[in-house]
Amino acid sequence: MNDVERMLQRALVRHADEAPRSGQLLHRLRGRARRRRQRQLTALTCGLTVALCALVVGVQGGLADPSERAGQSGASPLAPSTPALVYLTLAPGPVTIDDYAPKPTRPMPGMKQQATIVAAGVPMVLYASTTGANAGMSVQVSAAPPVRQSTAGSASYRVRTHPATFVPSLASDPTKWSLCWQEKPDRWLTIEGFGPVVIDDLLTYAEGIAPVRVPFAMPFAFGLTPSNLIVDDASASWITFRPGNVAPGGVAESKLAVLLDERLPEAPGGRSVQVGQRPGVIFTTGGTTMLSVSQRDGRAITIQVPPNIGVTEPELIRFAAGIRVTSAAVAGKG
Amino acid sequence: MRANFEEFVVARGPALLRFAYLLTADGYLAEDLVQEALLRTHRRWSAVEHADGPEPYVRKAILHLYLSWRRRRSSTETPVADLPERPVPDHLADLFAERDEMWLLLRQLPRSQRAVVVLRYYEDLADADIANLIGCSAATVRVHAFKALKKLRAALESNTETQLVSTETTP
Repeated sequence: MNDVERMLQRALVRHADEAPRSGQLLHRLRGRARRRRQRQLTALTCGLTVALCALVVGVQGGLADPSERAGQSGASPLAPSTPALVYLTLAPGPVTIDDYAPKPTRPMPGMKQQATIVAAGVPMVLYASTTGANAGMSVQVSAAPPVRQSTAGSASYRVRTHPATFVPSLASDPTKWSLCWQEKPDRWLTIEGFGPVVIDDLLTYAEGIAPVRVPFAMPFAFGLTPSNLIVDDASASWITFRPGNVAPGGVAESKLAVLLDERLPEAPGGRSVQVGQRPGVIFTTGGTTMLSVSQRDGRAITIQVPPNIGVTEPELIRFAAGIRVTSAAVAGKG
Repeated sequence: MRANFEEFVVARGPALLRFAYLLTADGYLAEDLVQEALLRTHRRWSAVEHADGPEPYVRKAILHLYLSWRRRRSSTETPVADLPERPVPDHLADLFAERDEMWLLLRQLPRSQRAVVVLRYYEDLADADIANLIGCSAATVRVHAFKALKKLRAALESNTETQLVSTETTP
């Protein structure tokens, strides 16, 4: 080794100590993995959500409050504007989601049922590939046929006695396929997915699906209900409520969210508060107010209140104190 | 995340971060590369865990991410043209300055040469192993190393001459 090589080695050894510390590496990795999964979930449901937004807006158009209808008409799920401030109103009573949902009775080869969620107010069942292939699909029931820009290349089949249309490449996203049929006069079933699919397997699976009215297994029981907000998204780990002036499936930053975390999140500049019998911490990040309440098992309920939803701190604490974790809940983790 | 994956991250995280930092000379970017490489590894953990062990796989991922990152941003990077001047030092200060000078010079090397230098002189890998990691031949590794050392030596000699002239002309 010559002099330059020795100098080089000394410099590398010395500067290696300036590398970032690894104390937070695992924590940040979990957060990044969780954000990535949420993005993948969003990508999976995006097609159906967008296709159904017009439909759901139409259904929501029958809302009793005319001011909500006025607010909705100006909102777009694709280009959200800054919604007007809505003050949170709390009322006693539980939050329930009781709607038609697909009930699969047969397995789909190469796929595993992963979760039942609610997206843009509509329950759907999600599947992921079991073979490591880049594939997945979702199944949902709607009151009207999904809006399709084009059905080029589509093929006709039958699911039980119902005519069904298979579109191998959607106009909105050419990487996705869909199978859709009308089960009842007011019930349409749609299976949408990406990645390789065997049509015979898909049709056999579809034969076993029936739309049934089942309550969604809520991750939380609410003592107080945000009475002027509408349930928008829900999974085993979170539930979001949107004001009437935010379109269904709108950006998460405009919705009140209640989440279950594995533990109390980091709360830079946070302030300790008492929420019922439990300790909590309240803090603000990026204009969003966060209240996290530690549970007996170490997990934490976190409520995110965006700037377009007004609520006083005592009201927020009152709302949080009435929330209980159900047995259906699964903490979001990395 | 699986327990053995988390154990791996806790145990080998510091070494991976040091490796990435030496490649990038940027703490934030180093952590970003390591996180991305670990996430990719996590997706294939079953296969990676039972092959040659996860660490070579993660290091390879970091390396490839670094090389592609450099390619994407090479047009916007501004190399350091001039090294900072320093007074004629005593022995200890000279030693530190020499290392910092070397660090600055290292940042000016092309990505592949810097990767070879880090793998050879910090990770202490043989040329054949470096070639396997980078995806080239051992001869190419030797060429990269030769060119890197030549550049570093030329730059060091040039700086020394400049300082000597500067010292002689100072009243």
